[in-house]
Amino acid sequence: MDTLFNYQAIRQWLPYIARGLSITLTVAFSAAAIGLIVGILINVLSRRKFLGKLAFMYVDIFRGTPVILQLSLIYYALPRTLSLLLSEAFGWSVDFRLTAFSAAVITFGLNSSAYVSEIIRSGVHSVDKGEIEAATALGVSKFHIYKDIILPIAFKNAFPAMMNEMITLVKESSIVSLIGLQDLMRRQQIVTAQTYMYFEPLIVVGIIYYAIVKVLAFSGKRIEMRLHHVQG
Amino acid sequence: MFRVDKLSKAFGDTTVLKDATYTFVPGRTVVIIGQSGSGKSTLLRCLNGLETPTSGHVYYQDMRVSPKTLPKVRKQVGMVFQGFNLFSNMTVMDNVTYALKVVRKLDKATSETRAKRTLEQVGLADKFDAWPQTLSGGQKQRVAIARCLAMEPEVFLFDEPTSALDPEMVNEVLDVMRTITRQGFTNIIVTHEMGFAREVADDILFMSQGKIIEIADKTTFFTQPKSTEAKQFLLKIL
Repeated sequence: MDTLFNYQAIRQWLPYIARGLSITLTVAFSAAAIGLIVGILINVLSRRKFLGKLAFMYVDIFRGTPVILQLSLIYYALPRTLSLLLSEAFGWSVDFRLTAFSAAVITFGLNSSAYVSEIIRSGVHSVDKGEIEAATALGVSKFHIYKDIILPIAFKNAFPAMMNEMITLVKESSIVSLIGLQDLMRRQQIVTAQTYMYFEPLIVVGIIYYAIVKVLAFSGKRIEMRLHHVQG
Repeated sequence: MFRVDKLSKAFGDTTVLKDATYTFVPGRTVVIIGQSGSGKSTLLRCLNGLETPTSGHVYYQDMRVSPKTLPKVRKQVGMVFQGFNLFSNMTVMDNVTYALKVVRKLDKATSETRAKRTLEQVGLADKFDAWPQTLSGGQKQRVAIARCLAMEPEVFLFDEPTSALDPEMVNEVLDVMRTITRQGFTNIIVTHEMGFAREVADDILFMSQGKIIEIADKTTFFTQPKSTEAKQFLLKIL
């Protein structure tokens, strides 16, 4: 048994690996918050003609390129390019720097917003036109209709897809190990480098990811049931 | 009151309303009848701006109905739909108080007192906290009527309010509508319930193929229709 899974050897590393959990979760939840806010914003803007085209391009680009490329671009390339641009254009010497954490949150937040905006779009599409007409006929303003009727109903309908996006974020955030952020995945690599063990740390990290996903999926189901129970 | 002048509406190549001209008289109940697709609902929906006419104008108390004047007009005009259209994310009480709060700017207590009064009026005193999805069609439509009533409009528009109901629920809605027609509102009703039309109407607008074919008081219309279209229509349904 010890040769298959060397618990004795991995045990001392468990607290170290577990500390990566808070990084993974902070990145995922911060990105989700940004994704939600920007996603709603995109949805609002996409109703306007010119801004709608921009919003479409934004969504198209973020969905059409790998997140690992986006992360590298934002972390490694963008700060330098911006500094160069400002110094060439205005003669300013500004030294942009992004911490790995900020770069991770920004990248995943923006990336997620592209997906969230699509989820909200289909949620909005699912709102009964009749309800919007009834509110219109009562003299309710477009802003209030969007805020009080369309968005809440769209959210309820899109909730399972939103939860799915949250779960995707938790798993995909493992890519931040690339830029040296010490999340779960990065810590596995460090432990492996220290101990020459692959299997054990990978399994430990795998179990932690799986557990987060299960907890999220379970709470999602509970909330979903409540949403549908209360409102019939 | 509402006046329509040479009102036309086309969806793509299909003209559904042609040169409708009519002046609604305050305090009267007008029932618009005609076959499906004759433009009745479109006429009604042009009045409160749910449809924008292709040509012609709608006036409300000498104010031309336009995007600019619509908020004013809608404050005075309640509309009841075929599909009830209750807000599915709000309880019965919130359905009624919502527009009172955001459109009429009434406070919570005043809105709720008014909502309770109107819900009692339509016989739903026991459903304040119910969700729309748990109600029968008849109950939903009565909530929708209470929602309009609470806004204290001058005009009621009814767009086939009983067409989506199971037969046994039609009467509970007609009963409520009957009491409304006795309260001095101006009522404009699109319906296929001929018995009801005969009972509550002051005037009849008969439409066929997008045109107003006949305008008459109800007795004249039902006993001595002039146009061949109206004669044929009445033969079919009576």
